[in-house]
Amino acid sequence: MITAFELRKCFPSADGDVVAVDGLSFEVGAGEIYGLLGPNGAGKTTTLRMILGLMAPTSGDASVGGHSVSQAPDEVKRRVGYVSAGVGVYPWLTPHEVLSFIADLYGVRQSVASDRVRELAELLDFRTILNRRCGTLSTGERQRVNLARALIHDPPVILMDEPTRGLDVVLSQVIFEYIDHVRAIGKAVIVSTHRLDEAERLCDRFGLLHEGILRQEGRLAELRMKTGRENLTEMFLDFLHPERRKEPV
Amino acid sequence: MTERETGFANPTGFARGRTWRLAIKELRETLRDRRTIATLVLMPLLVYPLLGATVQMFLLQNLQSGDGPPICIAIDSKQSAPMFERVFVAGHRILSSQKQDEPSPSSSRPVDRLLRGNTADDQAMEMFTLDEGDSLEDAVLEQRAHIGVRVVTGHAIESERANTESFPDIRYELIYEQYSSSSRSAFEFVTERLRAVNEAWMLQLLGQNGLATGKPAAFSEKVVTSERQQMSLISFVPLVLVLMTITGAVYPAIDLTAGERERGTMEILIAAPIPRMSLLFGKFVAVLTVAMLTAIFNMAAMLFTATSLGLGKLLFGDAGISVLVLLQILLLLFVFAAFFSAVLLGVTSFARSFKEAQAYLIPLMLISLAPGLVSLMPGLTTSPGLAVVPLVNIVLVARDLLSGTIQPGLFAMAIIATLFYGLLALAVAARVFGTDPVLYGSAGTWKDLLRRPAELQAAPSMPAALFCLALLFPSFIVAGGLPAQFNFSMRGLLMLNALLTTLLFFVVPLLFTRCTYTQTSTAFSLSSPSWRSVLGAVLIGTALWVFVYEIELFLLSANRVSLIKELYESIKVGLGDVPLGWKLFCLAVVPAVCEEWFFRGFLLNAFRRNSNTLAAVIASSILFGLFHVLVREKLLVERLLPSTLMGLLLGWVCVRTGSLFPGILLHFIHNGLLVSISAFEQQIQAWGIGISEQQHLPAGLLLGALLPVGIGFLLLIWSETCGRGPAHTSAPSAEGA
Repeated sequence: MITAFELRKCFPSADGDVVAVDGLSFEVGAGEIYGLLGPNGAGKTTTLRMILGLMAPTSGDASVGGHSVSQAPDEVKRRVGYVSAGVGVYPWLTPHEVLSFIADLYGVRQSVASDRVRELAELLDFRTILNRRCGTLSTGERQRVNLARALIHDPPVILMDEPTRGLDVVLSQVIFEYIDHVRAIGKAVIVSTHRLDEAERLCDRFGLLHEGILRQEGRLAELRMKTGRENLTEMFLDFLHPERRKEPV
Repeated sequence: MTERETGFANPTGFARGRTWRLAIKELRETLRDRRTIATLVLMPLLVYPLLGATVQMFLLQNLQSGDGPPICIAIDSKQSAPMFERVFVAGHRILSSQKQDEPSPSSSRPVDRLLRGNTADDQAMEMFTLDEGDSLEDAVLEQRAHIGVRVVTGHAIESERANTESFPDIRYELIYEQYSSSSRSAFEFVTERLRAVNEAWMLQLLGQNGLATGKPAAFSEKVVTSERQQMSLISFVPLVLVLMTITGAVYPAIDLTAGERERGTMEILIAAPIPRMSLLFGKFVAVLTVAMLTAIFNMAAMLFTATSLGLGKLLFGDAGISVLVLLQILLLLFVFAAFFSAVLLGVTSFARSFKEAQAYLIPLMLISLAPGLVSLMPGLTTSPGLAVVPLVNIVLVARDLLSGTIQPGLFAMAIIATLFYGLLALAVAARVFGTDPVLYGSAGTWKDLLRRPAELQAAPSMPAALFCLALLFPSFIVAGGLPAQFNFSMRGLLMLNALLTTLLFFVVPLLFTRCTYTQTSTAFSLSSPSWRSVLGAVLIGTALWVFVYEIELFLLSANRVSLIKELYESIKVGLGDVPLGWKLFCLAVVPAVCEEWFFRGFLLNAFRRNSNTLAAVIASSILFGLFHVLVREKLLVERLLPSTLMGLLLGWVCVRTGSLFPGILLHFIHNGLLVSISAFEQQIQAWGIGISEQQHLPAGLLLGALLPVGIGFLLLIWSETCGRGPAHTSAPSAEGA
């Protein structure tokens, strides 16, 4: 469903080009949750932005549902629901208006959009705030609206960029349930996060990103085999401090 | 997946309405924001009454302070002076004695006093008589006197006062300047005393049961207007409106760009499958709407305040302000608001936060204020040069509209120039809005705007075309006035004109293609034409003038004919001495090459790169027509249709043949024939064809002209079907570019 092929992104700077992502390749299938993991500055967000077509890659390409992001960016965008790190909302619009507006942007018919708004409000438990101004909503309520926004056009692919950043335990639980839900309905999902404990609990497969390079990729069991480490945190510490690396069993 | 499964609407149908739905969403969001309402409604409600009250208080304070400069009264002659002095002193005494009896000296309402002027009773004054040859009106206008008194005697007033027996036939004509508070004060001061004399006389007569047939101090008023003062007051109105329109647009422009980025909602928009241009246009419509609403609210508040405080005459003159003038000013403000909204969106699209956007806009506002203040300069008249200077043109043209001295040509120049600037600003904004350097702050700078493309371009980009257009239009207007600055012979003038045409329409577009790394051969359609297309162009060129002439004749009224004659008469006399070859070069070869180079080469290809061919041909033709409508400061509207039709034909020829050359040939032959006909006018008249008398051409000639034009069209169509059309040439397309 999602393919990244040799994605590379360089940003110009006063000291020459800075390579944010370097030759990244991976695939994610339908119904699979892929954890794109790494510390801050590893290149996770840049990768997601390149897959979605928000940012043009310096080289390489990505495709969603067989559509190349460089050739048909609108076809890719139509098939992706994006949950960003922030909980940005339109303060003067109601959740109902925001969701209808987003549905309209994605070309969803008005009658279909109304049904979806109702279903998602039920699913994410924000029926009671549908007609309140977003500016008056709490962080948790805004996050629920944002999660609904990513599903309003029923995309086959969901990209989630640091979805639990700044959220407490209760709100994080909402995200976990959301991810379980989208897995259950067969979406291909990429979750970028630096919360490795959460990732271990949620994701089916992992890509460990460090300094823009995909260091390891696979299921948890495979990674344990490859690295000889029990958990993702230890694996990352090995990347950061190569001297403590141990040979795989 | 099928449409039924996904729930997606028809993308084409969706695309048609989405920009408007986007605009409505942006507008709804903006209008719900209390800060917008504050600028839109509260500001005008507070500012104008406060401003009006301040002006009123200031004027009243001036009027009521008794320690002002002495009132200067000028009397027309030494003979008249004793007569006036006697009556004036008598009136002063009567008023002084009344003051001792009455506790409240003034019965005038403040507004009346403000409008009429008023003075303290112990006001110092000076009287002097004019030298021979001097005029009272000049003395008042030049502020040597506050008021002029002309003693009108004898037959001049005989008819009015034929029955007067008690007093000699005398009337005092009081001359004052209507926009000067000190002059109005002096008028009030003098009339109060003359009235007192008249009233005392009437009372005395009534007491004696006599019949009043005349007055001892009959007077009349004569108002003179200093153009300079009136102008400065009238300039103030459009300047305030323009500044308030800017204020109205600033907040939504920041909020819908930098504000969205700060809130994190911009990414949501950019992640949707819609072009950035649609997103930007939606925001542009919202900003423009709020700016226009602000302008309308401000105009209404200003009118209401001026009327209720009695300042209407002071601001809008005696005639007041008509609905037509209001609508014309709104049109100017609309064009200006569109231009400024696009500028604001372009600037704020760079900003990463609300604060940063504000930091960018403060210098922009200060820069905008400077030309606005320039337009307040006394004695500044609207010229073609000023009519193309952004902001100044709007204030000056609106001022001329209010004072009733507007010239349609200058009005059109201001509108067209501002529209071009607006389009350019929008194209620049489209280039920055939502791009990843701007969206994610990845080292995006202002220099990115001027970045040369890495790959060779087949056709100019839209921003390049609009930039070129926005540069050419004011240059064209200013250059139009240049030949008049030199004392050249007609031959020299023609050559200068040809040089300017070459520079503007040939060299400038060529430089643009070089700077934007665009291939010259494709940017200007320089492929070789087929023999059929060349022959077709020649045939159409030889016979087309007949139809163009008839269309122009159909559109011209008698008044317009005289205007055009007046414009060209002086040129025509001079042209008679210029050799035909010289005229053909300057008036046929140069315009044909340069105009085709720019309109059918540069512009048409730039438009074709960004839209479909039909729209591109129509747009370039309308622009071709517009450039032919403005001749110096005159607006020759009747040239719009024939020139636009000519543009359509030449555009079609270029697209059909894929080459610029047949169009150049057609254009040259057409212009050349008109020049030649003008040179051999007398011989042609001898054949019974009265061109200069605006007669229709003989039917035989019209029918005869149909044949070559018809064959020419067939050849051009045939040349395309024979495989010489755009598909086989290097004509640029959206894909190719």
